[in-house]
Amino acid sequence: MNDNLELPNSGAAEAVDPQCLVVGMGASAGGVEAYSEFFDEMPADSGAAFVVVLHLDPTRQSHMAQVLSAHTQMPVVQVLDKMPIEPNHVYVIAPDYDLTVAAGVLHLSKPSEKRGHRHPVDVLFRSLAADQGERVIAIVLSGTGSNGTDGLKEVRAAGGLILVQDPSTAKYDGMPRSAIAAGMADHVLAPGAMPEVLGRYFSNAYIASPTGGATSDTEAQPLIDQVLTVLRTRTGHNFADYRRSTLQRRIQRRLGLRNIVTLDAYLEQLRTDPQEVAILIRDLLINVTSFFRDPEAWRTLCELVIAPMVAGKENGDTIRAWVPGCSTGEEAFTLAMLIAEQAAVAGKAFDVKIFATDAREDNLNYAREAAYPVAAIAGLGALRQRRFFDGEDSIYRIKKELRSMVIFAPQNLLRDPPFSHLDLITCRNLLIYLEPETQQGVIALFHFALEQDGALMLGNTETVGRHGGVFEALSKKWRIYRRLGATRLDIMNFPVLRGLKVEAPESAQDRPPTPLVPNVPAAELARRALLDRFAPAAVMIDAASHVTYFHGSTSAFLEQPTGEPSSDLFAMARDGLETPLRSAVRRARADMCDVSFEAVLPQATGESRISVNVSPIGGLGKGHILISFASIAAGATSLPRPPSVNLSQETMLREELAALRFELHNTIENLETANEELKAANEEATSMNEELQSTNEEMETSKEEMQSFNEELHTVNSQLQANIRDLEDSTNDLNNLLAGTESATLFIDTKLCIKWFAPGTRVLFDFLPGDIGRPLQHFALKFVDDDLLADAEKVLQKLQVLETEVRSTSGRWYMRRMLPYRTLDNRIAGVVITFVDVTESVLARAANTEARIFSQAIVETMRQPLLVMDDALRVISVNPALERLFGVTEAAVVGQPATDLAEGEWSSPRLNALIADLVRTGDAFNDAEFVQAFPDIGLRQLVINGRKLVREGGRPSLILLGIQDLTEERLGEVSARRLAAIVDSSQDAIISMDVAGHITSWNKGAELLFGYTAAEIVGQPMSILKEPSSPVTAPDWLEHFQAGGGTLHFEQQRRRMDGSSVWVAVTESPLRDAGGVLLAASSIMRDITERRAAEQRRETLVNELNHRVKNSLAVVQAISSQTLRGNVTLADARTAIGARLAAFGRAHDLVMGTDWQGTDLASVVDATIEPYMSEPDRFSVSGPFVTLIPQAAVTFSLALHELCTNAAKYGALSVPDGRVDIAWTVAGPPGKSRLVWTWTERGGPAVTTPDHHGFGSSLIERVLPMELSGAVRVEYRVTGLVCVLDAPLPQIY
Amino acid sequence: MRDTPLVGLRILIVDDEVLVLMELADMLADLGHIVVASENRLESALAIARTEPIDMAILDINLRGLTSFPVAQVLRRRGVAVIFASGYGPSGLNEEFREAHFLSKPYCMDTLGAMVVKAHDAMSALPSNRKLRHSQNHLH
Repeated sequence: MNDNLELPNSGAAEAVDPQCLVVGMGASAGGVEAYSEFFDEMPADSGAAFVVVLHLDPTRQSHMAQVLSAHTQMPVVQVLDKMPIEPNHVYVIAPDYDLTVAAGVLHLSKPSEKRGHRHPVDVLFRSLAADQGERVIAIVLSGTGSNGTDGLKEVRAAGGLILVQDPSTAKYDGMPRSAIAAGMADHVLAPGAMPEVLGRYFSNAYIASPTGGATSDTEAQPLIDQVLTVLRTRTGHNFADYRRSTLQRRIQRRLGLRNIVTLDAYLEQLRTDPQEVAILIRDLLINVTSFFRDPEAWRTLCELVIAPMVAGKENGDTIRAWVPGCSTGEEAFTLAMLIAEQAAVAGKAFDVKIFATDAREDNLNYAREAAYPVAAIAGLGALRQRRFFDGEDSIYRIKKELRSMVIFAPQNLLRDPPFSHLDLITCRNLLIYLEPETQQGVIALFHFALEQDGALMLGNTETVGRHGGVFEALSKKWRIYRRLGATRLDIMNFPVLRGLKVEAPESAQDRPPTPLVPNVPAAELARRALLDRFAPAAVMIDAASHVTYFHGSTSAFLEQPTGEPSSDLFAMARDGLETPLRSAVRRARADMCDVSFEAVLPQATGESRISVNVSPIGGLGKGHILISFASIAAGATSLPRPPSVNLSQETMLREELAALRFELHNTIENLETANEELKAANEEATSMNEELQSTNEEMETSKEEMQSFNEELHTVNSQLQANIRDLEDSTNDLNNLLAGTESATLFIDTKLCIKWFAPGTRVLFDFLPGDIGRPLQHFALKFVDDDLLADAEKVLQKLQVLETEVRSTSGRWYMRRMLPYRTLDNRIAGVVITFVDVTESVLARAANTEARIFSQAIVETMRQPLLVMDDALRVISVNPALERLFGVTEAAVVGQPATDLAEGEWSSPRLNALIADLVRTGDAFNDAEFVQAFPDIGLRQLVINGRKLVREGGRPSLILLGIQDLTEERLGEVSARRLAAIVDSSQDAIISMDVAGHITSWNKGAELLFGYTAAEIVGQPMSILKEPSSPVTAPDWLEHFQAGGGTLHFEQQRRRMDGSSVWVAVTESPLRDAGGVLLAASSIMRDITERRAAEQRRETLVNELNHRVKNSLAVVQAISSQTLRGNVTLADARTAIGARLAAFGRAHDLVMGTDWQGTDLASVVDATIEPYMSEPDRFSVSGPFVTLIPQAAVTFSLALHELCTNAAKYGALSVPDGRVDIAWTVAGPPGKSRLVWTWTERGGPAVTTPDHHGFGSSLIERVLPMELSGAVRVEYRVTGLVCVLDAPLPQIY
Repeated sequence: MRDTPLVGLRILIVDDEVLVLMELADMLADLGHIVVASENRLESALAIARTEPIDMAILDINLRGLTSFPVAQVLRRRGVAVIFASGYGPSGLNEEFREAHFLSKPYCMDTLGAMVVKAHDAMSALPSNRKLRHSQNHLH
C-alpha cells in the first residue's frame, strides 16, 4: 500500500508556498475545448497553480499557451525545466516532454516510452501525488485511451481530490470513462462546473492547512468513533484498529469533498446516505500496489524463501500462500509469477494455491479480471510479459496458468478467520494503517496461519514487533521472517472470538433490551422456582450425546475443554467422570432404563464424590437422555438406592472394559470408514472448490458484463429516446418540407412496394393512403415511363443515382430521380423516387438545344472564318473555315494568343486597335477591310466584323471575330464580269444546258447564229437545233460527260430557226461539282460556213496550183527536151531554152492577170512582141477583141515568140527596115465564127524555105493548130514570111 | 527484170498539153515503142481507144476540165494496160481507178520506161488478158 500517505509533511511541501495548491490537469483529444471551458469559469485569484498536460505533437511547436491565454486572466506559460510553481499561474506542458513536479518545482524530462505509448498525464499525477500528498488535486478531461487512470490511483492513495469530466460532455470520453470505471472520480462534472467545486474544496479545512482539519484530535475523537461505529454497523467493516490520524484525515477529506464543515454534519450525512458510507469505506481501504513493487524485496524473497521452498518440496506437493489485502491482485500475481518461475527452474510442478484476499469487493472483481493496462506491466520486462500475459489491445491479461494459481476471496483480516497451513504470507504495507495493538494481533494471526518454517513478508516500514520471538528475520531490510516454534494459541486473538466479544455489547446496545415476559402463568413461574431450588444439576443430551439443555450449575461436573466450544457431553465431562458416564449412557440407551453410579472427581480441594443418574426420556425422540448430577456430602453413605440398576464397582469396571473394547473396535472401524469418506469428501470438496472458484470467476465476469451491458442498454435507451425525439422532429420537418415543396416523392422498399408517398405524387399516381405496402407495379402510371420498375431494380443493384425525364399524360415533363434509400447505417432499404416538374426547363432546354445545334451548324458550315477569344484575346474556339484560312487546327490554337495565329501576320495595328476598343467599350465594328499577307496563302483581302459577347453571371466576356476572305470573291467577281462580257460580246453561240438537255442560257451570239431569242429558246431541249440531214452525227454529250469524259470538239450542221442549216464548230464542256457529279454542260458554237467555203476554195486552188505547176513543169520539161533534140549547140540551146522559158513565163503572166478566165488576144500579142519592139513601128497590130482560153493563149504566145525569134534571126526583124504586120479577123455566123490570124513580114531579107524543121517550126506548125483545133499555114514568100492561123471560135475547153 | 527490153508496144497517149504530148511521144519512141496516137481531146481519144489496136494507153487525167476516165474504162474493158499521168498526184484518181498505175508529172524517161514495163507485166499476168492480147497480136 501507499508509503506516500505519510509524506504530507515531507521536505517537498516546505519549498512551496503552503497556501499554493497545485491542480494537475490531464487531457488528450478534445482537451482544448475542455480546458477552454474550464478556464472560462475559473477565477484568476483562486490561489492555486494549474499544471496542464496534453498530448502534443512532439514535432511541432505548441500554441496551447496562447490558446488558453484567451480564456483566463491568469498568466499562461509553457513550462521550462526547473520552473518554480507560483499561485494563480497556468503551466502548459512543452511538446515531447514528460512533466513532473518535485518540491514545488516543475521538471521536464524526455519521455522514456516511445511515441504513442506515453502517458504524460500519469507521470504528472504520480509526481504530484508524491509531491503534494493529500493536497494534490487532479482533473481528467476529454481524451481517448486510459491515460491518467494509473496516476489517479496514486492521487487517490495520497488522499487527493479527483475531478473527472462528465463523459457526456467530453468530446472524447475514453480518459474520463477509464478514470470513472477505475472508481477514481470524486466528482464527475462538466469542465465548466469544476471551478465552483474547486473553490469550495480550496476553502475547506482539510485542504486549507497542511496538517489537516483544525479540529484537534481530542475534540474529534468521539465523533470519529461514532463514524467508525456507523461504518461497522452498516457494513461490518471495523476500522477501530486503524490508525486514528489516518482515519481522521480520510474522513476530513470526505468532509472537504462533500463541502461539509463539521464532523457532526458529516455523521448525519453518513447515517442517511448509504452511498457516502460506501465511498468512505472505499477511501479508508486504501490500495496502491503494483507488480514487483520494490523489485529488490521480491528478489530477496525469491532467493531466501521461494527458491528453498521449491527445492524442499516434492513434485506435486502443495504450496499454499496468502496475500491478505491483495488490493487489485498485483502482489498476488507477482508472487505467483515468482513461484511459477522457480518451479520451472527446478523442473517441478506444484499445486500452488495463493489465497489473495481483500475486504473490498470491487478490488477483488478487478483482480479476478486479471486484466491490466500497458502501463501497469511496463516494468515487468518482455520475458515476463510474454510468459504471463496475453496482449489484448491495450489491455494485458494474465494467462490462465497463473490465474488458476491465485484464488481471490473476500476477507477482512481484522474480522474474518485466517487461512492456515500456509507456506508463505506476504502482507506489505497493510499494517501501517493499523493501530500498533492490532498490528500485533495480525502478526500473531500470521504466526498461527503459517506452517512451521513458513515465511512472512511485510512492508518496508513494518516489523513483527514484540513477536520477534516467534519469528526469525531472514532479511531485515526487506522484512522477511520465518515462523519459529509451535502454534501459540496464547498469543492468538482469533478474530472470530474477538468479534464475538466485541459484538456482544454492540448487539446489546443496538438491540432493545429484551423485555420481561409479562404474561407467563404463575404455575410455570412456580415450577421454575422449584426446579431452580430443589432439582439437581442436570443436562439433557440427544442421541448424538450432545447437550441440548443445561439445568442448574453443572460446573462441578462438566467443563468446556479448550478449543472450539463443544456441546459433546463426554468432551465436557470432568476427569474421572467421562468413562462411567459413557458406560452409563450406553446402558441406559441399550436397556431404556435408569442407570445410576457414583464417581469420585478430583477437586482442587481433594476429592468429591458425586452421584449420577442417567435416565432415558421419552417423548422427545429416541436417544434423549436426562443426566442429573448430585454431590455426595463427605462422610455420607451411599444415597438411598433409587429403583434402578445399581452397579457394583467391579461389575461396572468389567462392563466398562467390555464396552470400551467394543467401542474401541467400532470406533476404529468408524474412524477408518470416516477417514476414507473424509478423504473422498476432501477430494470432492477440493474439486468442487475449484469448480466453484472458476464458476465464481465466470459469474463475476458475467455479472460485470451484465452490468456493463445494462449500462449500455441504459445509454442506448437514452440515446434511443433522444433519437425518437429527433426522429419525430425530423418527421415533422420532412412532412412539412414535402408538403411545402409539393415535390412528388415516393419511397419504395427493396421489393418495390410502396413505403411512403408524398401528397404531391397524386398527379402522377392514383395512390390512396391504404396503398402503402402494395407493389408499385399494381398502379397505373399517369406518365409515360416504361423503365420505372427496371430503373428501380437497377438503382437497387448498382446503388447509383438515376435521372431521367418522363412526360405525364397531361403533357408536363418531370425529372424522375431515383436514388438508393440509405439508412443511417448505410444499408440500402429501397429506392427514393422524386418527380420534379421540369416542364419549363425541358422546353427551355429543347429550345436551347435547338438554338445551339442551329448556331453550331451555322458556325461549322459557314464559309466565313469565325474566331472566338476571351477578353485576354486567347483563342477559345475557331470554326473549320478559319482552320482552313489560317492553316491551323482548333486543337492546336485553343488557349493561344489570337494574335499569334498565322505567325502573327494577320494581326495589324489597326485591327489590334479595333479589338482593344471592342474589349474596352464593347463597341462592335463591322466590315473593317484589311489586306494582309499570310505565310502560305499569300495576300488576302479580309473583311472583319467584331462583337463583344457579354456573358451572364460575371463570366468573362467573349470576343467574336467574323472574318470574310474576299480575295477569291473579288477575283471571282472580276472574272465573272469579264466572262459575262465575253459571253455577251461573243460572236459565238454560247449556250448552257442542264443534264436533261434543256437550254438554260442563250447569248447574243446564239441569237444571231440561230435566230431564236433567249426568251424563245431557254427551257427548250437542245435537240431543237438538230439538223437531221447533217452528215456528221454529234456524239452523245450527256453519255460522254456522265462517263467522265472531257470537253468535246466536233463540227456539225445545225438547224436555224428559219429551217436553214448552218455548219458550226461545237465545243461542249461538262460542268461538275467537286465530287465529279455532272451538273450541267456548256456548248459553244461558231458559224463555220464561210470558213468551210474558203477552205474548199483554198483546196481547189492548191490542187489546181499543184496541177498547173506540175503541168507547167511538164511543159518546161517538154520545151527543154524538144529544144535539145534539134541539132544545136549547147550554147544555142541554152539561149533558146532561156528565151522560150521567158516567153512561157510571160504568157503565164498574162494568163494569171486574167485569173485564168480567158485572155485578150491583143494583149497576148503585145506582150509577146514587146521584147522585139526595139523600134516603135516595127510591128503593126490590128484585130478585133478575141478572148483566148488560157491554154490556147500560152501556146499562142509560145508560137508567136518562135515567129518573132525566127524574124529576128532571119526575117524582117533582122534588118532595120523590116516590118511585121499582125492582123486578125473574125468571120462567120455566130456559133460558127472563125478566127483568122495573120503574121506578115515585109522589108526583110528574102527568105527561103528552111531545110530542117526545128522545135520552133514544130511549135508553130504542129502544136499551135492542135492546140487551137485549127490550121496553120506558113508561107516563105520573097517579101517575107507569112503565117496564117485559122481556128474556130470561141475557144472552148 | 526482163531478159530482153520491152519494145514495140502500140501506145495511145492522151494529154491536153500538146507540148507535153509531143515530148511523151518522143520519149516512147526513144524507148522503142510505137505511139499509135497522140490525142489532146477526149472525143478523139475515145474514138482511138475504141477502135485502134493498142497495147497500152498513157492518159492525162485532166483534159480541159474533163477527165480521161471514160477512155480508161473503154480500154480496161478491152484489156489494154492504162497508165495515168497527172500533176494532181494519185488523189486525182477516182474510186474506180484507185489502184491503177500512175505517173506523177513531170517524169523522166527511166520512170516512164519502168512504169510501162510494170503496167504491161501486170496486164500480162492476167490469163484473160494474155489470151486477149494473144488474139489481138495474132490479129495484128
